Amino acid sequence: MTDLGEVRCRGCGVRNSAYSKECLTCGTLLPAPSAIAEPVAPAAVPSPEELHAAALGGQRIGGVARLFLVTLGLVVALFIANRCGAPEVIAETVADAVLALVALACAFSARAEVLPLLTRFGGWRSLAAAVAGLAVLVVFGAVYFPSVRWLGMQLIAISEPYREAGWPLWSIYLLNSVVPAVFEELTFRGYVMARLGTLLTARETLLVQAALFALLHLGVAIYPSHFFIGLVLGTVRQRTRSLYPGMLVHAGWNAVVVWCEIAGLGFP
Amino acid sequence: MDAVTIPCGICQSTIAMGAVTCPGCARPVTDQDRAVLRVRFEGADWQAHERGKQVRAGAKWVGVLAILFAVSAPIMFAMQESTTSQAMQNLAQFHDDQVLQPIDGKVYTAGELRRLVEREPYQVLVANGILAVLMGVLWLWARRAPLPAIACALALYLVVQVVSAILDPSSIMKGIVIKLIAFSVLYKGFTASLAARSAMQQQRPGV
Repeated sequence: MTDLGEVRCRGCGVRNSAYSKECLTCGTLLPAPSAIAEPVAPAAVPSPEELHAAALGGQRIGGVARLFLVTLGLVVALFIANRCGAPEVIAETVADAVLALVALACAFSARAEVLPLLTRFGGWRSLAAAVAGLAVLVVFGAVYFPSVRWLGMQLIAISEPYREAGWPLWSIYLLNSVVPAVFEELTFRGYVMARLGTLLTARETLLVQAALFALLHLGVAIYPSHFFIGLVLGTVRQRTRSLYPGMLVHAGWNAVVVWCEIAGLGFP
Repeated sequence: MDAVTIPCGICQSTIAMGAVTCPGCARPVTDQDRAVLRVRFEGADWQAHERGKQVRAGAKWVGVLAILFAVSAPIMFAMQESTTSQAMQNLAQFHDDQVLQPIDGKVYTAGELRRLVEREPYQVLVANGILAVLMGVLWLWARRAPLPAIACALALYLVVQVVSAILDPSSIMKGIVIKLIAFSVLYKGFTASLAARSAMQQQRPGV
């Protein structure tokens, strides 16, 4: 809208009468007249406070973008190291250690938002949310992963390199179940959700963190499944306002996966 | 900056930009209301108008990428099928339980390798199909909420290109012009929608 009684066409930019149904130049539908009967607010120069707030929003999203690029870079380095013949378990453990440091740095930089999530558990309600979340994931996994296999996609066994290298069982559970649960929750449901929440709505934040969580697992076949897992973990975090129930669900899910691999079961 | 508003069609309360419901009667703000608010905002501010154009271009490219993935799925399936049939001919000379030379440090029997090779065209088809569906969903989302949708599309496209480059370094140069245009438009769309969202937050009362 440029003036009272005029509306700019979104298609060609030409000004039309606010009471025209469509643009007289290109035919694009124009907004209804009842909704645009009020005079236009004139453009004003933003105040320094407004500019500062806008810049802060950009910086916070920029932090998430940098985290995404750093994590992607690490995963790429891990891929290359494996291709160059580096011992897989050693490379994985080093990458896990670096990601843990990145997660701690992120949590520290957003401590004002992350600390409240770490100082409460939420009692029985949170425990119930964790159990429900894990049950949803197990049911979903029982349907999704066999379907993906049936479509011809190959899925990676996360515990296989550790078993081949002869690592003890407790270390396999620790490195594949507990460690990712703690640090991924701290990063995605802690830092990423806190930062995205400053610019996005609660629902958008939930969806974007789940998408980033899925993408950083680098496998087209597991994008939909890990997006769903991210949604479940994000919902648990939003409902309980704590990171611990999400950590329990995440660790439980990973433990189920490792246990199935060790037992030679086809699930997930 | 003064708030851009419209009157509610039901209760005549003032609906501000970025509101989810009418503050007077609590009816949900419709897509048409959002479009009117956006047109007003962009019409009153040249920079906002330019940002809007970049955001719409970014959203359009998410749809273009969905179509490209959908079109490339059957083409790549057919190309992979011909490679697979050649590989199967080479493997025909071995018995199922015969152990072959290690590939990337892993030892396979001829039977295992045959099963893996047979799967490859379907993997390519399903992978491209999943990417087409994901981009399509993001394109639909970009029409309502451009910032999160374009951000996800940019991240998805980046990851896909990085994974392709790792698996097959020769793929970096394939379709490089389209890739660069897609990255450039998506990045501009992302930064423009980020600026637009920040500006919209300034428009929101009480923010």
